[in-house]
Formats: sequence, structure tokens, C-alpha cells
Amino acid sequence: MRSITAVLLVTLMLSMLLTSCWSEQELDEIAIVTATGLDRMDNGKLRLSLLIAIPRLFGTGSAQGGGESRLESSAGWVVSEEGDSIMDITRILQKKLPREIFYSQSRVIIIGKKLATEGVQPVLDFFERYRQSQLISYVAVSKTTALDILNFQPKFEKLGSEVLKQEMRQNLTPSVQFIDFLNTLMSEGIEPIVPTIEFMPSQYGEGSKGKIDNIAITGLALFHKDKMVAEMDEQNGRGILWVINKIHKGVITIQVEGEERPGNVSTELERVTVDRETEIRNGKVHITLKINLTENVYENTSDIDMDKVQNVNLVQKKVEDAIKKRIYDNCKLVQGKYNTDVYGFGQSVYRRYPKQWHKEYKERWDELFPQIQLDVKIKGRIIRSGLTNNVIKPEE
Amino acid sequence: MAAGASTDQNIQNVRVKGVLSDDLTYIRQSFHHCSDLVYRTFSFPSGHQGALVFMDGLVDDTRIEEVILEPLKTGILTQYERLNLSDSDLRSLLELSLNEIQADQVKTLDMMSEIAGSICLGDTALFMQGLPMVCLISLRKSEHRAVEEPGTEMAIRGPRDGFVENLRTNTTLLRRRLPTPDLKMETMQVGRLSKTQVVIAYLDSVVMPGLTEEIKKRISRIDIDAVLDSHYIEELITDSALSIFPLILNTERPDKVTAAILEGRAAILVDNTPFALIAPTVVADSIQTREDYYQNYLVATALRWLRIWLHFSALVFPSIYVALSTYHQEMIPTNLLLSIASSREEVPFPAIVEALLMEAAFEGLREAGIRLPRAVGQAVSIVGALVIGQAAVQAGIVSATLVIVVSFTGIASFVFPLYNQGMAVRVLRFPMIVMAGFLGLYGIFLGLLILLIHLCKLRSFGVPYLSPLAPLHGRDLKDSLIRIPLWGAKYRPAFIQRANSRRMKGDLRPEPAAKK
Repeated sequence: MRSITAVLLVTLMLSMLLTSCWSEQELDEIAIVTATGLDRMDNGKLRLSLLIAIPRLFGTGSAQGGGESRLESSAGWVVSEEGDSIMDITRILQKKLPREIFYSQSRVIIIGKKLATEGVQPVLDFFERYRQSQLISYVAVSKTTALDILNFQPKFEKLGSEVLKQEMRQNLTPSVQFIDFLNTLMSEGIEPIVPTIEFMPSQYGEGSKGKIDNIAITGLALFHKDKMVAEMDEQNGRGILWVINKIHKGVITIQVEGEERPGNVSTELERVTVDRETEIRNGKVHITLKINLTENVYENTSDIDMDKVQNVNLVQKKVEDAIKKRIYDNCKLVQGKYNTDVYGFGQSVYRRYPKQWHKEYKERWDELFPQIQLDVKIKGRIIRSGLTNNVIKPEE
Repeated sequence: MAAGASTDQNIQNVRVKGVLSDDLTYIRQSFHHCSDLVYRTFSFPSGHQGALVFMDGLVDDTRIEEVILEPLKTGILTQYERLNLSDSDLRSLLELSLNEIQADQVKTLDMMSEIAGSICLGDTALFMQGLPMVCLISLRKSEHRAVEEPGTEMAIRGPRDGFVENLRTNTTLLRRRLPTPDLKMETMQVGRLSKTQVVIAYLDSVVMPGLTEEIKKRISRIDIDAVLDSHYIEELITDSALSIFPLILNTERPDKVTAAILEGRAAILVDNTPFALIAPTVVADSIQTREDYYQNYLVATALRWLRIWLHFSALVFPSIYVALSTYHQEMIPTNLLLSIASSREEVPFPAIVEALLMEAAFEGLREAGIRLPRAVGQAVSIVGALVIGQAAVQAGIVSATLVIVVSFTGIASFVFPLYNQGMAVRVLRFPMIVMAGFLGLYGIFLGLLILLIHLCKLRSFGVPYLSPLAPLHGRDLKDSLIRIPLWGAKYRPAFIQRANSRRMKGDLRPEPAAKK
């Protein structure tokens, strides 16, 4: 009996060995894609660009050159090809490459502006279906073409994809992962937003004109369904983040009169919570944002004395007003000009009043969205004022 | 071997005749070609003749004259002469006066085979003309080293004595720790030719029920020519003959043996080896050292977890590297993957070949370090550092990442408190690498599963090897994965002893005196 079991076990294990090794690939047999770029060409075809890491250029790098030449060196190599579908192009690219294309480490998906405007739906399926793709990749829209962004030679990192990934992680600007994008796209009553990236000079001023040496997230692309309908600069874009409760960090600067010397007070946001209340009154949708925030004063160029309660309250009030203004301005823009529900107001209505949503609102949401009344109520508190309460006053 | 057996046959059932020349001829025949046997004939003025037969070196021959011959000459024989007694009286007189001989042990025998055996063990045989029996006087002297710190189980804190090759010294070390008649030491003899003394030591009141009977039963069925180390016994009485895991613990530390005895286990001490055996044993023993109990309980617990982690690393770390780098590249963070990829760029072998090669080289280095004479030992480490280190990487034969993996695994495999347990894991990591190389992570888990099933099946003298984890016994977890403070460890492990399991009173937690 025991010997039969043993024989069976050995046979079983050997048979598994026969089927094995089929997905085995050594590290020096794969081409590691670190960023994927997608463009719609003028002839209607799709262009796929891949930023492939060259392992040879990584490591300690002591053998490489020094100084400026080393700063400019990139460990990436961009390949691109056009075709009808991503798989189709992958096949074409594969013919040109000695190593097998390996998508699993692609952390950024960059979509060219033209493709975004015409609708991204045709390219989404690959990233959802293919086993090597990662749903946690970040998505970004390039203001020019995706290929341009991939071709960028970064300074800090050896790969452009690393630069983008790190910038996305800083939380200063919105970051959208592919899975969030898909979820938003497939949910009712909310439209996706995606950060836009473009080239930027790293220095400000005359000398840096036309010198492009950095890529940065500079704003937001607003989508309606799968089509990009508008761009927003970062300042305005942050208004959206307030509404959708994605503000994590931020500095708000206000102007104060002061006693003798006017100046600026900058406060840093410490903790922000945004609660949204949805109500239907007389058939009209009212949304109330209740914002609770704590902030720290970290710069005061006026001579206002932060020791005094009324001054603190004054600053507090001004900060609240500044935030309110930003949100209302943003709202006017989104509701009035672009008319796409990136706030997810529809979703809030759906959650609160599911029956009415299906009966009355769902079909006509595009008409109704601009008419929604938004109220903002802010409860702020300045809790710290830095290392000193004194105001710097030169001796007269 | 055959000659020895026939000699045994020859002297079997032969009794001492009392005719000196005949008896000595018998002895001479059975100890044919034994140049270390000493015959010392003597004749007293009274006309009595006799002979002393003993093994050179085993007997303290400086004391023979003083302890045996002198009393004989001046005492017994003078008396005999004076009283003019007959030969039959000589025997009873001799028996009476055996007490006067100042030796460790004195006995009389008349079977030739037993006498020969006794001589071999270091007794001095006294043959007397006209006396149909032989007096065996124990004046043994044995060469043995002093008690010193055990080489395989070092400790910073704790007793520094270790077992030696001499069985009597070893039992003394135990007896001194437990000076109670409750500590039993039953002696058995194993080995047709070696006649090795085996002592089973246990505490009568707390030993696991049925354990000593089982050990005795298993030892008594051993029929072997010689036992050279306690491992012979271990391998012949183990529960699972083919398993790679040691199902009987071995140790050189008397304190460890004492602790085991106090838990209700039994120790088996074997003559001529410093390694005592402890049975039963469980897998948790492989993460424990005695030193755990000689230092702060939190430190000991942390060290136990460290050992668990490193045990696991020693088993699967290289195979995880192989699996991830050949099958699951998506699981490695991008930057790490790129570093690994860049170090593997020039390497001509697949990862599995590279890993097997380097792990084998490392094991070879370890083995060479043990076997080489100390004088050339340093050469090994120099060459080894070059082979496993810099040169191999620079030559592009192996990747730098793998060298790190191998070195870490090497360190991890040296934390095992039990050397032979470590060996088991060290050997098992090779099949794990192969599994990982062929099946990826799936292979690693398959391997771990097979290992787990095997561990679940193992028993050590009826105790499940995974106790107290499987079957789970909550109370015993207090002293397996963690070590709770001594005042909390009130009971003996339940998987060994349920009946007499209380070790200490319940309220021993030290506290400051109450305020008055």
C-alpha cells in the first residue's frame, strides 16, 4: 500500500515537472518596460511607445563617465511602433527586440492628448485583461504626445518613469491609478480626472526660456465618459480636490493689512476632512460640503500679532474665505463651462436617493448637473504658529 | 571479526579449574596476539602460586603491589600458614578477606568468558593455584580529558561544564545537579564486542509514562558489534528511520539534560562519547537554547523569533530568489528588479544553476573548514572569500545579488542551536531550489507543503513532532514560541507529562513589599 502511494506521488510530481518551465524567463531574457505611452496617429492608427530599462546602465555605475555627461545619461531606451491594437503593436515591436517585452513593471501609462480627446476606451481593455499588466499603474495625459514624454532625459532618476512615479506619490497633485480610473469610468454619476504632464523649465526667468529640462504634473484633464473634455491648470485643479476630499497637503496664503505693515500670512494645512451632505429640496439637488481643517501658521510677513485672539480669528476667517472662493470659482468653471461631473455629485445623489436617481435624474444628469446648488461650510482652527510668536520688527 | 567470534565460542561455558597452568593457558588462548595483556605470576614463601592478569594501561599498576599482593602475602596467606588450614578453607578465608582489599570493587567469578570480559574492562584477575575461582579486583585507571566547555554548544551565560567521554564523569555531572534518589540511572550494555555502557537517566516521579520501558525495549533489541557514538543508538531506536530530522535530541550540556529530565523526558548517556541523547523531542526544541532561560525573558523571546525567521530564511531564501527572478519578476519592486537585472546581465548561467553552484560551494567551504587541520584552516577562508566573493562576481560567473543571497543564507544556517537540525535544513534547501527553479513559487509552496505533511507525521517516542503547535496545546505555547518569565511557567509541558505536571507554586511573581 505504501509503495503504491509512493509511486503515485513520484509520478504526480514528475508529471508536474513535465509541464513546468513554460513561463520560465531569466532576467536577462526580458525587456523590462517601465512606462507605456499611447498616441493616436493622424492616420487613425495607434502608436505604442515603450520605455525599456537597460539593466547594463544600472548598478553602481562607477565605470560610467562623470559630470554633466553622466547627469544627462538615461538608462532607458524608447521603442515605438504603430498598429491597430496594443497586442498587435507588441507583436510588431517584439520582432525588433532581442528580449521578450515584459509589461509587469510598467508603472506609468501615458496617454497622448489626441488619443485622450478622441476617447481612451479602445486602449483600456488590454490593461485590464493582459496578465502582465498592473492595475496600480499611474495614468497621466501628456499635453503633447506620449512619445515626447518617454523620450525625456531626467536628472534625478535614471528613468523618466521614476520621475513621474515619484511626483505622483507626493500627493501635492492628484494622482490616479489605473484601477481608480476604470472604477470611476464604470460608475454612475461620476466622471474621471487624470493629471496632465508636460515639459517645464526647472528655473524661472529669462535664461531658462525654451530650455526644457524637467517634466512635471501641471494640471488636470477632465473627462466626460472616456473622452477628455477640458484641461485645468493646477491652481484650479486643486479646487476639484477640495470637493472630492483628496486634499492632503497644501499651503494657503492670504493677505493681511497688519497694524502698520501689510503682508502675507501662509498657513499649512495639517488635517482636512470633507463631509458631503446631499439633499433634494423641492426637486432640486443641494450639496453641502462640511470642511473641517486644522492649519499651522508658518510664515507671517506682516506685523500682525498672532498672540492675540482676534488676529488669529481674522487670519482664520480669511483662510476660510480663500478656500471658499477657490471652491466656488472652480465649481463655476466645472458646472458652467465644462459640464462634466468630476465631483461625483451624481453618485452622491444615487447613494442617498437610489430610486429617484434611476427614475428622474440618471437620464437627464448632464442637464441637471450645472444647476446643482453647492454650499461650503468651513470650520477651521489654527493650532500652531511655528517656533515663535514674535513678529520681526527692526529697531527704529 | 570472525576470529573474535570464534574466541568467544572457545571460552564459553568453561569454568575455572583451579589448576593454575591450565587456567592460564585458557586465558592465553583466548587472548592470543593480545600484546597488551600482562601476566604476572608470583609465588609466596608458603608455596602458594598465583598469577595476576590484567590489561596494561587500563589498570593502575602502581597500586597492584600495595593493594593486592601485599595484603595477600602478609595477611591471608600468613594466617593460613599459621593456622595450617586446608585448601577448602583457603577459599572461604579468601572470600572473607576480600573486604580488606582496598579496591573500588571486588568480586569473584568462575566462568572463563565472564572473566575475560572483565579483564577487558580493566579488572585485575587474581588466579590462585588450587582455587576454582578467580578474584576480580577493580583498580581501573582510565585516560580521559577534563570537564571543559562544550565545543558545539557555547553559551555566554550559564554553566561552562560539558560532558566528556567518560560515562562515570557524565553521570556525576547529572547527579550533582539533582542530588535525589528520585534520579534513576539504569544501565544497559550494547554492542557484542564494544560492550558499551548505556545509562538511561530519568526522574522516577515525573518521567513520561511508559517512556523508560519503551527506551529499554528499543535499546535491548539492538544487536550490533560496537557502538562508537551515541548516534548509533539514536539511529537504531528512532521512530522514523528514514526522516532527515533528528527525532532524538543530542547535547553536550549537562544543564540541558537536567532541564529535559525535569520536564519528564529521559536522557540516554553512552560511554565514550560526550553526546547525550534526550527523548522525546519536538520541533520547538530546535529554536531553543538553554541560554534562553539564563537571560531576560523578552530578550529570549526576541531571539526565538529571530531564530524562527532565520530558520525559515535558511530553508527558502535562495529558492525565493530563484523563483522571483525567473518566474515572478512582477513581484520585485522596480528599482530592486533593475539592480538585480544589472548584476545578472553578464552571468552566463540560469539563476537556478547559479544558485545551486554557489550554495554547493558554500557548503563545501563549510565542510572544508571543519575537516582541515587548524594550521591550514586560514587558507580556506581566504580562498573561500575569493571564490564566493569578489573574484567570482568580477569575472561575471555569478551575480553580486546571488552572493548576497548565499551569504545571508549562510549566516542564517549557522544560528541553529542544534547542529544536526541545521544540517537537515541545509540539505533541504537544495531540493527547494530545484523546486523553485522548475515550478516557481508554486514549487516552493509545494515543497513546504510536503515538508509540513512530513513533519506532521513524525513522532518522537509517541509525541507528535510538531507539539505543542499541532496538536495545539495552548498552555505549552508559553514556552515554545515565546518564553514567559519563570514565575509564569508553572507547569511541565503537557505533551510529555500530564499527571505530575506542576513545577512551582502559583504566586511566585516577585513584587515589592507592601507599604506599611
